[in-house]
Amino acid sequence: MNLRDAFFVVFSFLAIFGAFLTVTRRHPMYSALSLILFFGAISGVMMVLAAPFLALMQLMVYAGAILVLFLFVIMLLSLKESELGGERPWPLKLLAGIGSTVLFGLLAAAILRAPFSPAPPVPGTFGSPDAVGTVMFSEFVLPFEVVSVLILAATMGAVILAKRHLDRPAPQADPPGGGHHG
Amino acid sequence: MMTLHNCLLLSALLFATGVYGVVARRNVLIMLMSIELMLNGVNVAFVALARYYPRGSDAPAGHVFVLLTMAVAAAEAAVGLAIVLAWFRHRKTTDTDEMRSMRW
Repeated sequence: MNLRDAFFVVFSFLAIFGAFLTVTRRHPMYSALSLILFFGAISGVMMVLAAPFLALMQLMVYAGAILVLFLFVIMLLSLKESELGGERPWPLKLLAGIGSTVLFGLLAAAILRAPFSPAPPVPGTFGSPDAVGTVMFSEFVLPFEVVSVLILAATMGAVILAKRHLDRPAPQADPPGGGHHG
Repeated sequence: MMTLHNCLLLSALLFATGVYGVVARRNVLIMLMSIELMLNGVNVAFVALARYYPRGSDAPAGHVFVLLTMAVAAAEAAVGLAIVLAWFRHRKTTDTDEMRSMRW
């Protein structure tokens, strides 16, 4: 077992551990903190799998943007025990566990049956920003543009959802001396 | 050992964990996080297949898919959390079983 395998094993177990913690914690704050471990471990797995650019993007986009968004919302809500909602009864949880285990078993059976070839050697520039960008802006330029439309739609949707009063236009200028209480 | 089998098994296990989180939990924030778990599991599969079956020299198509998935995940998280905020402002709960009026 060389160093690459050792790193893969360590990062894999960290990712699995973080994922299990995420789905089992009672309070979303603990789940979000476990998600940090998960995203970091996935970034390490990507690094071992010769994808350095994606590993950095994983840290920047997931750990840097999405997770901060989650933490921000959780802190903004500052949930009390009554607002956390109930838990499903344990028979249902057991059933869900059995169901997801069966799903994993089916996927594992299909994976283990497939005859995969061993890893071919790849050049050192594999997965570099240069290589990924060249493919993205030549062959996959149409999906890239579609994603920009999607992000625009998501931004507008989030703004509209976050506005308090849709029927009332936003105040352009507050009258002097009087604060606006929206 | 880092083989394609083990990478795909890791991916499947993370996906199944995410499915469990969506099905077994009632807190909407944890359900959104479980969706992120599933998306990350799929990303691992993309990266592993791009590593083990490179087409050509250094043209990783799987990496581009992962980037697109990340963009979709970010958009999904933004809209989902906006919905959670708007709902919490009115009903003071994050329990999905109490969100039945959103079904229509």
